[in-house]
Amino acid sequence: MGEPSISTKNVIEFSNVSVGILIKALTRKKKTIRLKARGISMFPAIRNKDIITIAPLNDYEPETGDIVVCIDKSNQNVVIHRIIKKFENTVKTKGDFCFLSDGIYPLESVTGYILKIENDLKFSYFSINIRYKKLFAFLSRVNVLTFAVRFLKKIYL
Amino acid sequence: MIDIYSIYCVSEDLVARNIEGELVIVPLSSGIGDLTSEMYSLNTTGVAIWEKLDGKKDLKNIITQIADEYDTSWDEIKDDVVILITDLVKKGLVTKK
Repeated sequence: MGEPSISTKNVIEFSNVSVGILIKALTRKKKTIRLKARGISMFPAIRNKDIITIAPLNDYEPETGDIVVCIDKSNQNVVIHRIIKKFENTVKTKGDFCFLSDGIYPLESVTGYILKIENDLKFSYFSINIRYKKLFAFLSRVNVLTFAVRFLKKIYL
Repeated sequence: MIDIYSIYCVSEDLVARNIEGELVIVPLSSGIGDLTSEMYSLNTTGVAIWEKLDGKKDLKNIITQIADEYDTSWDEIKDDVVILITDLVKKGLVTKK
């Protein structure tokens, strides 16, 4: 028996699936989560390395326009994208920066929703604001948001 | 100071999961699981001790049990357990009952 030891870990060391396991465990305990976002699929609402706050669903029923955490049952992958259409027991999600939707997720796959995005962009605030989120969902669904953001990104960045 | 005649248990303010072959512990600060802060991971020996912290057995019992299971001297196990528990208590992951 070797000596017991405890070491520190950083979430960056974990795979997407492992992050999903932690998100699932925390939301099951009805805990709010702070997490550093990875990737640009939700650009510009969520930029790479923005810190996001994920709230567990509890009694909240996610609706169109919400940015939600979906954990794919087949491969346990985590996707943090916007609901562009809600059906009775399923949701259709899409990254604002992506041209294609992710497809349909059963409601049970939705484990939390984005409560807060920590960055200096007003855009992020508006994109999850209850008044505008449906508009953002529509713009994302018809790819207007995707085209506009990609166009502006090309010019300014 | 760790008292081996006391019962220690895993704090309720954390979430622990087996991930990629190791036990990952996420402390909860003010009820928030902050994955932007440091998390902890225990090695196999650490996990063997952690799993016995059920809030029922005192450390002396746990040490005896581990010494039997691993066929190692009681004193050696005692030192290891005390060192680990000291660290875990310091980090707020384990509390004295």
